[in-house]
Amino acid sequence: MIENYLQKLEAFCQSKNIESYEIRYFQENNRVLKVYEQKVCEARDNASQSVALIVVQNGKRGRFDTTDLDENKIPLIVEEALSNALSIDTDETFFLYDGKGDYHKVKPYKPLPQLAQLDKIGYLKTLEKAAYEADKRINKVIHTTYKEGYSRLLIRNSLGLKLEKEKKYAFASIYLSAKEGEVIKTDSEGVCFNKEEDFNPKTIIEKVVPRVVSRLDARNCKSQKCNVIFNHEVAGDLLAVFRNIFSSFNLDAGVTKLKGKIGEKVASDIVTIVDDPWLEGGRATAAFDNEGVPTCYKELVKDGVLKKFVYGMALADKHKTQTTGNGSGGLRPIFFNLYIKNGNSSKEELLQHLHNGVYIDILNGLRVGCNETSGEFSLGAEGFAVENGKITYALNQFTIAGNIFDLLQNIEMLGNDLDLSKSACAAPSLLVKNLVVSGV
Amino acid sequence: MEKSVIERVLLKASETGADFAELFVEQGRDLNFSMGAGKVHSISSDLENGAGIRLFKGDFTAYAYTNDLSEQGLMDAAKKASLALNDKKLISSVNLVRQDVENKHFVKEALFSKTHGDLIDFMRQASDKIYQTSSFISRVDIGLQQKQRHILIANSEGRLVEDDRNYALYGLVGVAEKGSEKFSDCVNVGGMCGCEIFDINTAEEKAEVLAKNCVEMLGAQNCPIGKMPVVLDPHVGGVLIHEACGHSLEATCVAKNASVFANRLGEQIANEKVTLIDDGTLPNAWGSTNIDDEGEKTQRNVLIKNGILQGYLIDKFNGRKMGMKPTGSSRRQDYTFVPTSRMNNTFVDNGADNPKEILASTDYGIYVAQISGGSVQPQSGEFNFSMKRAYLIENGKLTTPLKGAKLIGTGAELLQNIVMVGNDLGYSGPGRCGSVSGWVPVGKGVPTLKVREMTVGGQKA
Repeated sequence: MIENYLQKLEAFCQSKNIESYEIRYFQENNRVLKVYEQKVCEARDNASQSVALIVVQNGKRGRFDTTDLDENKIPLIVEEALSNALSIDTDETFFLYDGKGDYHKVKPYKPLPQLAQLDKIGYLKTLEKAAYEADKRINKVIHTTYKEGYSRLLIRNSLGLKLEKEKKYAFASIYLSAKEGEVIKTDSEGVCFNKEEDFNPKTIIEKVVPRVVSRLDARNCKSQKCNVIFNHEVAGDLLAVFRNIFSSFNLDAGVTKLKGKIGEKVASDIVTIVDDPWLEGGRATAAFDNEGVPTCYKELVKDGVLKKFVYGMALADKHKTQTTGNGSGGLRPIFFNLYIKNGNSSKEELLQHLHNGVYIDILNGLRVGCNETSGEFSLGAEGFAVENGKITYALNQFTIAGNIFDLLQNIEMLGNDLDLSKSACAAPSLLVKNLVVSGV
Repeated sequence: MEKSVIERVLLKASETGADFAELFVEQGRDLNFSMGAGKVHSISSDLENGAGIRLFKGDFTAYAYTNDLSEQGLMDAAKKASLALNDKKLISSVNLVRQDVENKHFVKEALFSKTHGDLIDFMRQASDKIYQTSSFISRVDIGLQQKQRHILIANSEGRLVEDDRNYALYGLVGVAEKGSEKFSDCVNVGGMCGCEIFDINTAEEKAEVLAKNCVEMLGAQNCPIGKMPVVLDPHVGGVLIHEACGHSLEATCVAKNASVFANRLGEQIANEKVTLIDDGTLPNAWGSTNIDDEGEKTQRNVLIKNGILQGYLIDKFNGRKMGMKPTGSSRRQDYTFVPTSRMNNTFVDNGADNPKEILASTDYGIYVAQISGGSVQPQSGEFNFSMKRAYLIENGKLTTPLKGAKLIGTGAELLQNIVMVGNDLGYSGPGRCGSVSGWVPVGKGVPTLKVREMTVGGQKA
């Protein structure tokens, strides 16, 4: 049925003499289960489909997305996509891709096949029960959730491009609180079933329960300038919010302080930052970008020196360079598996080297606490005091402030704990000097 | 959509023992423009068409959504949702009675009535104004959106309501640059309204203020750190209140006893100067609706009165658990989400203090002029929120502009620490709040507020 719709859409585009057009069909199914107090409290079973039409006329691009697949609306869709294109007045020329490049054979993330045999409800029930059994200070398991999904994307265009991408995913998570006296702390943790141990609910429990209860006797952090370890999870989150400093859109708009610094040292010598769409099992592994262009492995920063910005076709043409296979279709490029290369120090070595300072394993308010233009950040943080090379006590929420461009230069040591199995943006633990913390 | 079709769908969904069945249908259209450096680089349109079927049985929820709005498509989704149950049928008939919805949000100029050319001219004039205001402005980005939705809600209790929601919004982003210093700031203007909001006089006023603020902040100093008094501008404190205590009053967490404010009705939880209201009825306000996403009439809910906790924001499902009536607060981003209790327009009511005296009473502290949002853990009440523009207060006067920094604390402490409440209630621009039922439009406001003490996380040690 959908094939019939797509053919009619295509025929109407041709009848309008559109120079070039691209049609994308996206279909998704997902299921959600939630268990609360040993009962399934929610079950969802969803299906969706949508079509996107992209037209390029006189080198300008217009787009129309629809979940309404009523054939009678095809003229509206094509005509409005066209008038969207004709109203664009930027200097950039937009292109569609003909699909003639070499596509790398990639192996993206997918859950292990034994997921089919897993009793999901049983898993969640055990997860909830195990949390309460692990420590009597666990006050409430607020929810346990399982989600799985499958999606399929078909792309074809008038230049002969024909591509297909399938994606499968699954994850389980817990959100809970611990209480002692009047003090309450909350935390969450999850798995995505791409490792054997993810199938045992204890994997989540062993991470989250000790972490949340360790905070119950947290003390206040004193305000100071100090050296800090960001554990690998928060280091990855920090890189994720600032990734657009490597975007050609920010470069073109003059809103990244890395402008004009290719070949210059922008980070500590030990820092290499990679965008790797080919990473085996990676969460963002893909053979082509959102323009259908083949992806490639690239180092954005090598040994502290800025090498590249990421590009899609239109800005690459404007800047007289090649697309890096990071196109979104519009001007703002996308990233794939983006990470700081692994180091070789163990957690103990990092703590020894830090000697006195703060170990951070939770960052709050990242989305709003970072300014990618100035590089300034001020964030809510939680973690532990480090004294004489050892973790001594947990800290109540405090703030951590600095500037990402200084931070990159001030990375003194890298952990050996880079983990790309759960997130597409990752880093090893980072030891950073000279940040400002403010306590309560 | 025919009434008989909806009735059949609800019956089909209830076949396996649901005690309540609901259909939510959403159809609509979007048009989005992006301009950078005075040129339009992206225009995209959307047609949205989807439905969700929700079932309850006791404290269990089943849900299924689809984009296929044909009778067959809806029946398929109804069947999928029903497969989560396997029990004796409880609902044997559904008799829908259409209810009228009173519209409080009149549109003066219909959405999509302006041509692309007119809208682009509007954006360009606003963009030009920002550039013209100062030679330090190095980049301007402008976004403009129109979103129209028609919703239908029907349930097994016989409710059948339909409503239209019209949203129009534009946002201006300016970047000022001087040497190696860069500062960017933004302003959003939007409402539940039509194209009348794209008024160039208002946009130019906003543009000029934005440009001046960006330039002023080029000379900003690092913010100090530590605990100190904080005074909040009327346009910003709403976000603080929204994060610090609004989320903790939503039934989503209260029903599970997972909120610091659960089981505390009638208790003094805030300074007696604080009256907190969530009002979804404000005409044309960004966070308003005529009816919520369960078809319940939107209300003005007094949550805290003179410091005493009066009520929570309650949806149907959590209301069952709590033994309380819904408050017209059930919301969702769209049909792909299950609705739950959320805020609409949240504000602290006017107090008796003169804003000038509030400032004069502060020897040393921070004045927060612009924020960019925050988040909270509802059970512990620990919140964080980001100031974008701030000033140092010295001897009761604003002195040095300060760079952005975090403010942190707990909601319970903050409510007790609001020691002065101004008489100058103002509403901040349109906001978007993200939670379990997705992103929903929210409005916020407060008069000038003085907080006795908060932790400020600057860069100046």
